[in-house]
Amino acid sequence: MPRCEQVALQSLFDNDSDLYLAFRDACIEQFVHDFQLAAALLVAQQDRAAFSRLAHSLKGVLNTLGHTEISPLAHALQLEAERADWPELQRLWLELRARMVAAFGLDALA
Amino acid sequence: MNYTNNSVDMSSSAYYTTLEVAKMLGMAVRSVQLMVDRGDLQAWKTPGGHRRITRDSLERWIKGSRAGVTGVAAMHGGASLRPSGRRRHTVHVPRILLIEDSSHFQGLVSMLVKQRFPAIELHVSADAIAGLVSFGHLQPDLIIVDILLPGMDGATLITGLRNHALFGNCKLVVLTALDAQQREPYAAALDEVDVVHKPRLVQELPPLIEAALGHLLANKDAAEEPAPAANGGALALAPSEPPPVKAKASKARSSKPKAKAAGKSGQQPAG
Repeated sequence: MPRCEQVALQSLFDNDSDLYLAFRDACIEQFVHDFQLAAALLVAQQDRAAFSRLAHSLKGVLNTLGHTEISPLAHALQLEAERADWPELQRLWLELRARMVAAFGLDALA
Repeated sequence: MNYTNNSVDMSSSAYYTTLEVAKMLGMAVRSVQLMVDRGDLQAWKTPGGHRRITRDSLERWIKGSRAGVTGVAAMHGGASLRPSGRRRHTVHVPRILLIEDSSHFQGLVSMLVKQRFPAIELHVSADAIAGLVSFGHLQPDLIIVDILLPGMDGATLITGLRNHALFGNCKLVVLTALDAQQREPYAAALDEVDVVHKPRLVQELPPLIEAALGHLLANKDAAEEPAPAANGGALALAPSEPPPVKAKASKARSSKPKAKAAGKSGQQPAG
């Protein structure tokens, strides 16, 4: 388990490793759907609010899992979703997505 | 509109007025009228234009809607409709309504409640409008609300909930990924409300659930104590006694006072 996750397990989950790992597994399953949703939103280029909510959700999840080194990217994406042009959002999303793929071993999704 | 033809049973036990249904479901009369117009409920109209809603369609709707909004919860085993249409509860099962659009945090709250409060029913709504409707007919004991939701901003939702005729003794906890500074625009709505920052959900939410529903859990435990045969039948509809909290989960929290653990497995129930 990466150091950042160990810290989260200890400081946010009271060392309840069963709960932490169950949550982490569920998140990884959900990331598949999150990635699909983001791709659909970027193609449609219409629903900024939905894109912002998705980024907001990922920010919270990443913080909860201990990946505070990635969550600022999600936070930036959430803020930019309200104002940036879609190519910029695409760039930010791909950066966030790549970091998530690396952090959670999501190579199969990449 | 969804009105029945004249061949329906028009005896008074077969239909309800709009007001009666509104009271049963904890909704506004206008909401019930809209449900009829949408076709959710079947009705006929009196010569004076008043809707009369069929009992069959109401029972179908209650069954369907409860299944539709339920997340990890089992159906409310102790409830049934009396001939009058009112629900009858043999044992009050504490209920939480979670209004949260993030599947991740729906899952975490579900895991947490299942692990630490197995006797509590958790219902989930993914947006504010569905949450308000669910609040009306579930009448939960505790409502946990995310601030940023599709359909309505959190401040408006919280204000709407507090002004709801049925809010009464329902407790409210707000769940958010916003930090203190980001919450400032919601300060008025969050006044005197318990707020849990999502990353600290596992540590901060259980004590708040215990504080809000502990007395109901104690009452439920007392009601489900092995009893003389005289009332054994009355408890037959209640959900079975949940397994005790896992030792591992209890051990991890042993450094903190946890009324939950004591109330569920270690002490005689109150009352």
